Formats: sequence, structure tokens, C-alpha cells
Amino acid sequence: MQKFLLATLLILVFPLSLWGQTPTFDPNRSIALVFSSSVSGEVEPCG
Amino acid sequence: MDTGGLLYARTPTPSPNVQKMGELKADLYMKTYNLMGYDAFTPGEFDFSFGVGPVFQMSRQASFPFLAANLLYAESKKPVFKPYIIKEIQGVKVGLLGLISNRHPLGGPPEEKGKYYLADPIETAKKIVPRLRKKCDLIVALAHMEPDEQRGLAQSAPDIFFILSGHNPTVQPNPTKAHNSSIFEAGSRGEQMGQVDFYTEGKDLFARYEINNLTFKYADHPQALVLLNLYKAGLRNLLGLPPQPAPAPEPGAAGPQTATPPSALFVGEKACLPCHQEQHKSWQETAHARAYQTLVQQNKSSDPGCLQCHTTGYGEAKKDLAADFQNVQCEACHGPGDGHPEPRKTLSKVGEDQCRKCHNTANSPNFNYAAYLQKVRHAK
Repeated sequence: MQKFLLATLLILVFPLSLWGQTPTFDPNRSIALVFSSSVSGEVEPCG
Repeated sequence: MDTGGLLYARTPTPSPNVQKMGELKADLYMKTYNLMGYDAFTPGEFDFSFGVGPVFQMSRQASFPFLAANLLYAESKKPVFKPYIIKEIQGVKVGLLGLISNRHPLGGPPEEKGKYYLADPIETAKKIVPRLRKKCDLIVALAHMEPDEQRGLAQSAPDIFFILSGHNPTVQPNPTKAHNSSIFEAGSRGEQMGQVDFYTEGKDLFARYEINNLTFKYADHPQALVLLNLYKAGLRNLLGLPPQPAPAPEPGAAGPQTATPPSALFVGEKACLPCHQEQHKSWQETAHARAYQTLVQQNKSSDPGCLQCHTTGYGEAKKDLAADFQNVQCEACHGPGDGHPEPRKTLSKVGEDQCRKCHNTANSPNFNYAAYLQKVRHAK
């Protein structure tokens, strides 16, 4: 009985539809690392 | 951040004039990077084309640190630059660790030989990362290293969350997973910027990655334009050209003498003409024979980055300038002609690899070897 109640409780708290879903990215909380590499070259297109 | 390959381009034959031109451009890069607010830079092997000394001097001009944990003074075994820094961003302490591949020799003058060396970057990381982990929430490696070295780094130092790749001039729209780390590549030539967005929630890390193509939709920064024009003026001064760009000459007329003359190994197309009249005539009808004029018409004839592929034997500069080596001449494809036609001085046949040195994806996106070959093919 306890196991049944526990399972019911878990399903109510974490509905089956949410299981396995990747959390959506929250851009408002994010930190951005911006980087460049191998930049050296002509400073403008050569044509 | 920048992961190297910035200050100087490949210099197979460093010479004083090429170094001066390189220093002028490196100065432009440093000033614009200061303007953009860069936080860190890890140099790569091309940045050391003229030695560690010029890079060290350049670091004094930068408003951000140069990071290289495994570039050491031979005598003291101490690092030349800071091994790492810790940046606190929105309450998150991010450790930025600089590492350079030790598979490529350091360039530089004879007096620098034995003064510096590159220690094994992975062994260096194994020593530093555990200590760094105690001081920060997240470790990011600025890794100017080969792809297999980066994977080895991820395996040997699993506390590194992100590896920002240098050395490989490729664009990867998605990160490569390697053990606990993600490896990011952000293209080359200032055409792209990589952006890693992340946040932590408890022990979980959420991250996403995107490549920003720096197209003309981004307006030029006024101060950056001023710096660019100062660079161009400095270059013209160095090359002994008049301050204002000369108007485009009539077709066939000699343009400004901006091409730097190659060494005696290159003899120029006029030397080929007496024996190869038929080939010379067909060459004159190709775009190769007008390659320099296209630069003149667009006021790009003083950009070393352009001259490499629009002149012949560039990089073998002497003091004076010469018009004899403008355009993509015979020797640009077949190699230096000095000594030819003596026995054993047969010039090389041209393969696709030779063409792709200039017809790369950035400059010649529609390049097709078979089709382009037809445009320049001449009698044997």
C-alpha cells in the first residue's frame, strides 16, 4: 500500500508527460562566453 | 576570448619587411581587441612566427591578459604569461586556462633559441586543473591544440567543462562531446564568433552553442574604422607609397609598386617568356595575369593578407619594391625558377593542393578544381 501511495504521489508531483524531457534553456539566466579563433588574415575582403 | 592564430599569419620565410608589416597588423588587432573588450587571449604557433619576444611586447599593449600555462622560461621553468585567470560573471567564478600544443616549434630569432619551451599541455593541465577547480565554479580551456590533444585534455582533466578550440580553422555548428567536456570551434579569419550560453542549477549545467556569422549586417564601429584607416596609412608609409590611394590605372598600365620582390629564387614571368611564348600568351589571357589589378582597383594592394595570393613569391621580401612580381605568375604555381632549365631544375607540376592554398573556401567558395583548371590550362 505504501509503495502504491508513493508511486501515486510521484506521478502527481512529476507528471509522466514531463519524464525524459530536456529542460528548456532559460536565456534570462545564462552567461555568455564569446570567442574567436584563427582570426589572422586579410583585414578586408580582397576582391 | 580568442584562442590564437591572431597576431601573425603563416610566415614560411620570415624577413624584416614581412615582420614589420605583420607588427603593424598585430598592432591593429590589439587595438581593436582592446576596443571590443576582450577578456583573454591564448596565442598559437603562428603567433610566435617571429618569436616569443614580439608576442610578449604585444601583451603589454593589450588591456587583457595573454594566457599560456605551458609556455615556460627554460631556465626558471616559470610561465611567460599567466597560466589562467578567474572571472566572476553574475556570481559564477569562471576559470580561464590557456594551453598551447607543444607539437609545433616556437619561431623566433637565433638569440631566443633555448630561452623558452612549451611543456606538455595535458600534463600541465593535470597539475593545474585540480587546484583551479577549488577556486572556481567552472573551468574553460582556451586550447590552441590539435583535435586529438583536445580530446586527450578532456579525458585527462575531466573538470574542464568547455574547451574553446584554437588551431583548427573550421566551423562546427555543434560542439563535440569528449568525456565530460564539450569542444567548440569558431571558424577563422574573423568571419564567425562562437557563443556558449550556460547557467548552472544546483549541480546541473545547462548550455547551448551557436555560431554568429559576422556578416555586413553588423555595422562598422566608428573607432574601429579609424584604427583601420590608420593601419592602412601606416602600411602605405612602410611600403613607400603615397598617402592617398592612387586611382585605378588603365588596364595594362603598371600599378603602384606594392608587391614585395621575392628572393633571387624567383625570376619573374619575363624570364620565362623567351622559351615559353605559347604558355605565356595563354597565361596573359587568364585572371591570374590580372590578379594584382583587382587589388589595385579596390584599394587593397597594400594588404599583406591579399598580396600573398595576388602576387608571386610573396613573403621573400627585400628592402625595395618591385613591379615584376605582381599577379599570379608562372612561378606562383610551378615554383621558383632560379636555375631552370639546368638539369634537375625541372619545375613542378601543379596539383590541386597548390591551387587550394589560395582558392580556399573563404576566398574562392565556388572553386572546382577541374573547372578552374580549364581556365588556366596551357600547352605543355
